[in-house]
Amino acid sequence: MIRYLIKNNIKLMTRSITNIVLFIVGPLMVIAILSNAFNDLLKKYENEEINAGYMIEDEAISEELLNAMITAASDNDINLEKYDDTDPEKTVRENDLCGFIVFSKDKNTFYENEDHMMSAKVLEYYVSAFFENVTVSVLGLDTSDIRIHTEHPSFTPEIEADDYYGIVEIVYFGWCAIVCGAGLLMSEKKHRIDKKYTVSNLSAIQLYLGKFLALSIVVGLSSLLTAVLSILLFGVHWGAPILSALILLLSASAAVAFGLLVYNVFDNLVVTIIAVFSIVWMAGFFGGAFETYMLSSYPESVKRISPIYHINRCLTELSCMGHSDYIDSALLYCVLITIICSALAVLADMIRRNRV
Amino acid sequence: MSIILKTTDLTKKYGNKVVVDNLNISIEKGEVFGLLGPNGAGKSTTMNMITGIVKPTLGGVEFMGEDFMKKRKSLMDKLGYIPQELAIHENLKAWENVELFTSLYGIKGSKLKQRIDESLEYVGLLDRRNDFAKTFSGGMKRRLNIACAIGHHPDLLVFDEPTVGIDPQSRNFILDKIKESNRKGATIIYTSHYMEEVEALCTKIAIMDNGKVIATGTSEELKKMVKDDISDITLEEVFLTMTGKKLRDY
Repeated sequence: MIRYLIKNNIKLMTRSITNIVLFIVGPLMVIAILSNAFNDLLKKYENEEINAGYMIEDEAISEELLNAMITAASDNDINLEKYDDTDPEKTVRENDLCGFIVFSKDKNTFYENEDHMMSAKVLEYYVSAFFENVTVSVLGLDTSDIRIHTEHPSFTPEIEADDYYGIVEIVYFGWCAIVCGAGLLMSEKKHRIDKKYTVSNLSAIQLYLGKFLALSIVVGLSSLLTAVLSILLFGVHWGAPILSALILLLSASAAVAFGLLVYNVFDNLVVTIIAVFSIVWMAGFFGGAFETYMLSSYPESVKRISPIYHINRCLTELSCMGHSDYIDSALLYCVLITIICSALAVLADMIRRNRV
Repeated sequence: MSIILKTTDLTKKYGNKVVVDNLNISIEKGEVFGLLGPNGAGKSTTMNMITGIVKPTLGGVEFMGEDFMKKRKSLMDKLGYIPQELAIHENLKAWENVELFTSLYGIKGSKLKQRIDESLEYVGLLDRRNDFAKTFSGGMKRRLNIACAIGHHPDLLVFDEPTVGIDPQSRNFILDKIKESNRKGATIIYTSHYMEEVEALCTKIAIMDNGKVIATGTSEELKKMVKDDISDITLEEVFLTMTGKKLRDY
């Protein structure tokens, strides 16, 4: 029964051509600007060798843990050298190190060399990621049997700015999916079409699916089209094309479900767009949509809250490494957001229509 | 004749304000039932409760012998609603609008195509089937609004001020079509502020004020309630006598 509803909703969206064009052209423009601006920055980071020092105070770190960290660092092309009773700042200067870590009993102090800021950021990211993994590993285990999960050795992928921003901006714009539905939602609101839907055999779920599927198809296909254009215009490399396309489509459906939930709660398109843009901007900010997630200094735990982080990391790692530890979490995030937001959106609609 | 729709103590409150107050009306099959009332009398809320758009606070609606609230889903395809608003998508073509709204009642495939043409022909828009609704005049949009509500062949048609803001020719056309639908067996509920329309169309009229039905009957019966000699009194005079001349600014 909702086949015709989906078909006509798609027609309504695609006939509001301005939104679709903005949705496709927008990310391409941002890709061009950001990849150009950050090209040198990422190149610098790619080529530099990472040499750092460390010092241990009062047996602050166990020998097993230290060895695990040095081995994992070495696997990631980071050379860690031990210094005893030294002045960290002087040691960094004299040995041209990118950074220095002082392990104390209840904290770690990190010294960064401004001349090697990129490498210092990578080192900081590495140490932060290492200790988070250690924390996870230690929980419930005997400390003598600590097994360090180091993910893939190239945890900070060497990626071109074109590829990085080519991927993350398409994901970011995909999360503003509700804009694509503006033509449809405005027409429904203006002409009180909801009344007609109420006086029909449509259930709240069918009504939701009529919008959700139509919007997901339009946004998903627009994202894929933008991805193809990014290849043609900027030579962006997408790793594992079928998997990447699947993740982009699922990301689009999660974004649509989220947008429709906000719309059903507020029942106002302008408020919805402002709310969605604000939340997505935050998620993108922590998820690497502007500053690369490899170089941002926010704690890993904060980044991991953002679904955009998982999707970005998965797609960029697939692009430059061909594999990623974030495939499962990216897929899981998208599916869970789609299901939870859809259920809540239907409930919100039923409450608004006084059906419950 | 059998009762097609009956309300029992139908009440709607918004906070402490009673908008519809213990409304009891019965509409017989094949009737053209007119609902009149000044602004804020509770007509639209009554229509919205009858069509299931708004949930009553108290009371119930019986439609075709069934409890409408409980059997809503199975009864909806027997109901056609023509809202006061032009509930059409302007960026869809005429046939696409009819397709969209007719398909909501489970009609599909070749039957749907046939119903689209039938509905458009009924309202005189078949030759404009491929034109976008946004290119239509006000009268044509009103006719398309009707076409979108009749494709599933409902037994009861609810018209909420269907002739607002259109030219006399379009209004005349719409009124003729409502009469034709009634002749073919459809029961009609009709609200309008145009008394002459109601008088010409309706076999039974209810006048509402302050959420209550204050009088019910045929046009002649209502006139007799006000004046013995009905030859020199209009329905509008009856209406004003019953509801007063005070402005209703809501």
